Amino acid sequence: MGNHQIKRTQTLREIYWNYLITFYLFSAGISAGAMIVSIAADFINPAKYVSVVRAGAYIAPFPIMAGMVGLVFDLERPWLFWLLLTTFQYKSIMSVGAWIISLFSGVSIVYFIINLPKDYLKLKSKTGTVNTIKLSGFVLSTCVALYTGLLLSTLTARPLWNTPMIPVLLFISAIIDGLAAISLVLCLKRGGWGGAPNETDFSHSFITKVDFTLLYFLSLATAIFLIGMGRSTESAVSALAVVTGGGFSVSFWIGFVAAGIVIPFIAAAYELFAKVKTHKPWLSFISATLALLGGYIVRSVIIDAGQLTKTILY
Amino acid sequence: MSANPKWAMIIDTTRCVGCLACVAACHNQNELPMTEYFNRIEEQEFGHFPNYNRRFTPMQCQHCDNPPCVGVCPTGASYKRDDGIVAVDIKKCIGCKYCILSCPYNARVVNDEHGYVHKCSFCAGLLGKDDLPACVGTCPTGVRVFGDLNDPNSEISKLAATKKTVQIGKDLNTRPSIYYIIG
Repeated sequence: MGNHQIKRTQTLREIYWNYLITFYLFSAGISAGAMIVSIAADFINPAKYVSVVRAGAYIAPFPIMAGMVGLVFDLERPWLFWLLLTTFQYKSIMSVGAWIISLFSGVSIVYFIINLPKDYLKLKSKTGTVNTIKLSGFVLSTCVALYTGLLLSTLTARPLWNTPMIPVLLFISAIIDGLAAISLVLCLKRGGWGGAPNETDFSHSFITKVDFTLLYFLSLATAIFLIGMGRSTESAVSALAVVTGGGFSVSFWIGFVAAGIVIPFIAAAYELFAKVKTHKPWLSFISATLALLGGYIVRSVIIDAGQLTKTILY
Repeated sequence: MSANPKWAMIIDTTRCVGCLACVAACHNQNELPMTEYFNRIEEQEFGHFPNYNRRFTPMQCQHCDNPPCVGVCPTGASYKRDDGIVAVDIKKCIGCKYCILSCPYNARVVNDEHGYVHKCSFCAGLLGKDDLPACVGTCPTGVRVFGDLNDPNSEISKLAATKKTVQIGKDLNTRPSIYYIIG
């Protein structure tokens, strides 16, 4: 029996969060990812991976600040943005997130300064203070990378977003984007910041190993997302159909799956299994650019398609 | 009316003819521009001629008892009143639109002139003066029954006790204050 629905009185807008929000999620992901990778490398071996530590520290504060400008101008009343920081609504992921990104910005600037060659803050000898900054930076960047996904996944009205896999996908993607940004910096800054002549090779090898592992998990998370949504409610299945087979399918399969996962994964696998010991800037550059492109596109698809699809109520 | 009213509405879709008088009355009452709606009528068609039917479903803010729009609001602009009405303090609204995206009923709209988000308030300004919300008073076929669920003698309490009603989107744990009779 045929059954179709016409909206008699249209709701005139469909897209409420535009490319500014996509850009914000992307830039916050790069910042948080670069910070996590930098602090992790610092924890593992600060002398051997000094270029990763420094590149990550130098990147971290800036993308998210650009993103926050976009975030403010996406508000319908941007002049009232300060109201976000006059209250704390613990039930609202956005309110918690506003506080987290403010704290993150502060800590990432301090982390940036203590990684400069000159000891501006006179902290180099105070190990306890430096470790506190690193630990709080790690916790805050983890929270930033997580909250952007939770912001979307907690809305029951949006079937494409309302799945626990969205924060997982965006979290892994954020760290991959941070790694890619660090990798790009190492392509431009030949020789890195290391004293030893082959320090860039060590740092690059570290990036490749982590990248390979994370791309493996990202492909699994994507597969679980697709299978889980495809076997879920009518709302979820029809929302997923818009992504995998509808107007967003080219962006999703070519922009995200091929450019963002498969090609960087093959590049990393080639370097690992062919035992490439030296840093090849051209290969890193292509792989990192594609990974970043994929990171932007997947957020764009999720943001746009998520708003165009709704939970079917009756 | 009880001492602690709990405002609610029953919408009998079997009586709705889709005349849109409620939509026009709502526009008039809330002085809305023609691009903004607090309520709308969704239309469904079933079957093929001659075995054919249509159903009109008036849709608006459901004044949920567990409103997602209140939980997501980062500034506390969206709030739930003691009498069950979900309201917006427009002075606190920064226009982030998170509440719009959180609403399964698509009940909230951005005011194009000032940028805040607003929506159906059950005509809160009229309540307590024995007045009904504009959509209820204007309906020519008696689709809408409005009243105090905490008052056992109110028309809505009696109707709720005798007719089978459903809450739309109940599964989303929103606990709406609008009950539908779907024939």
